[in-house]
Amino acid sequence: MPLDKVFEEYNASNPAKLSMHASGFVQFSGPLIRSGLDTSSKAAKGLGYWTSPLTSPINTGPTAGLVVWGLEEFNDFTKLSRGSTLLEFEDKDLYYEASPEMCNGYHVDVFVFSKQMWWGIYPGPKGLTVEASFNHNDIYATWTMRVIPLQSIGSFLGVCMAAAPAKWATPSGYFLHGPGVRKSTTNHDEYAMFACYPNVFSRAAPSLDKQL
Amino acid sequence: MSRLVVALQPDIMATHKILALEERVEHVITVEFSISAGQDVTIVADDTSTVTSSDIPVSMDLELNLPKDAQNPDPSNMVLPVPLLACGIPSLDVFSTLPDLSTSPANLAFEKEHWYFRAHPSRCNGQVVEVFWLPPQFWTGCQWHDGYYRIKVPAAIGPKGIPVVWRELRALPSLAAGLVGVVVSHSPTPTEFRSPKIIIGGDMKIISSSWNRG
Repeated sequence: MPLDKVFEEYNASNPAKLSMHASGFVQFSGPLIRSGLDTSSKAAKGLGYWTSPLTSPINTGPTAGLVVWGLEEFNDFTKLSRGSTLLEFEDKDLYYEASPEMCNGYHVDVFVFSKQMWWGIYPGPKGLTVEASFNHNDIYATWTMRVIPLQSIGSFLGVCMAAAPAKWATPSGYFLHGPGVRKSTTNHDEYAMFACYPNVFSRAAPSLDKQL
Repeated sequence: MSRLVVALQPDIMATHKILALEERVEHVITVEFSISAGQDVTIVADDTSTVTSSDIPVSMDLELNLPKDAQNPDPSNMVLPVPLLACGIPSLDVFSTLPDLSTSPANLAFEKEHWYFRAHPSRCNGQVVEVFWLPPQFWTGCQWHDGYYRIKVPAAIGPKGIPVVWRELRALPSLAAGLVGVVVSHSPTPTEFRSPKIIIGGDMKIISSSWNRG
């Protein structure tokens, strides 16, 4: 996303996660992050918006994604949080978004599939797996994805990982993005939200941290 | 290791015999079908535990709903293949003992890790064996793999052709220079199909046939 197109910006000093509700409400949230819906206006208290519900998900591409680089500067993984699923990717599982020598980071894509897509799932060597094709820049590429069932609604997540060039000039960082949403049925402009570290903006912005 | 074996008759150009078995309990079902020159399909389902068989002639249209252009698989132009035959297995425990497979030279063995799912594993209580006939142009997508050919065909297609999810059939040469492809899936509704259906198992042997594209 071009940074000059960013029209709403927040800072946060506390950990924030991208959370998506079955209803289609997507937001950044966390124990110390201002989030949720205002009960009367139904507007997001923090940074959030409505997109396709998980029962009829976006089918043109990923619903969420993460670009990360400089992994050696991140904390080691030690413990799986409750309710989480661990997916392990090896080099042979990776796709490439550029020639290998240009790739200094990783790109994780998360797709949401409706329950009708279960028919393609098989128990791969590392867990449930699906092979899916999407229109990617007019090329119908097929990816092998790891599957995380969303058991309560019948849909599932497909996750794949690629080596990718991270073009930002910092030793480490991440770029976490949510689903795109079209502004209206007649307007083809789309918007999306993302979180990045480090802060690439110089201007001051309001905080998403809860005021304790 | 559990596996299902689909055994094809020696004359695989005309008749296919499906043996679905589970090694641990050594039970088996036998489903046999043949395709005549007139493209009528005769299905003979035989639960060998009761030595009962029924002949169920089924007349059906062999026009296959397959990708319209196998050379250029544009997903927006793609429709799901419809199985020639689907065999539901609500319970593997009711079938007879393991037969001698030595007379079936062309076996397709499906180890459990190669069974697909039609729903979350916790909801599946049986299996379905689906048999597809693929026209000759599908040879272009086939690879030889240790005793059989494998080819990927669409398993489900999203709105406007996106996304497409795929599953791999195991295939052998068949009549009219085409292929017969087989896939095994866990299913929450092993007794429901949208093809000529054969249901065997449960409290009683159910053999039925119908042609229901819905």
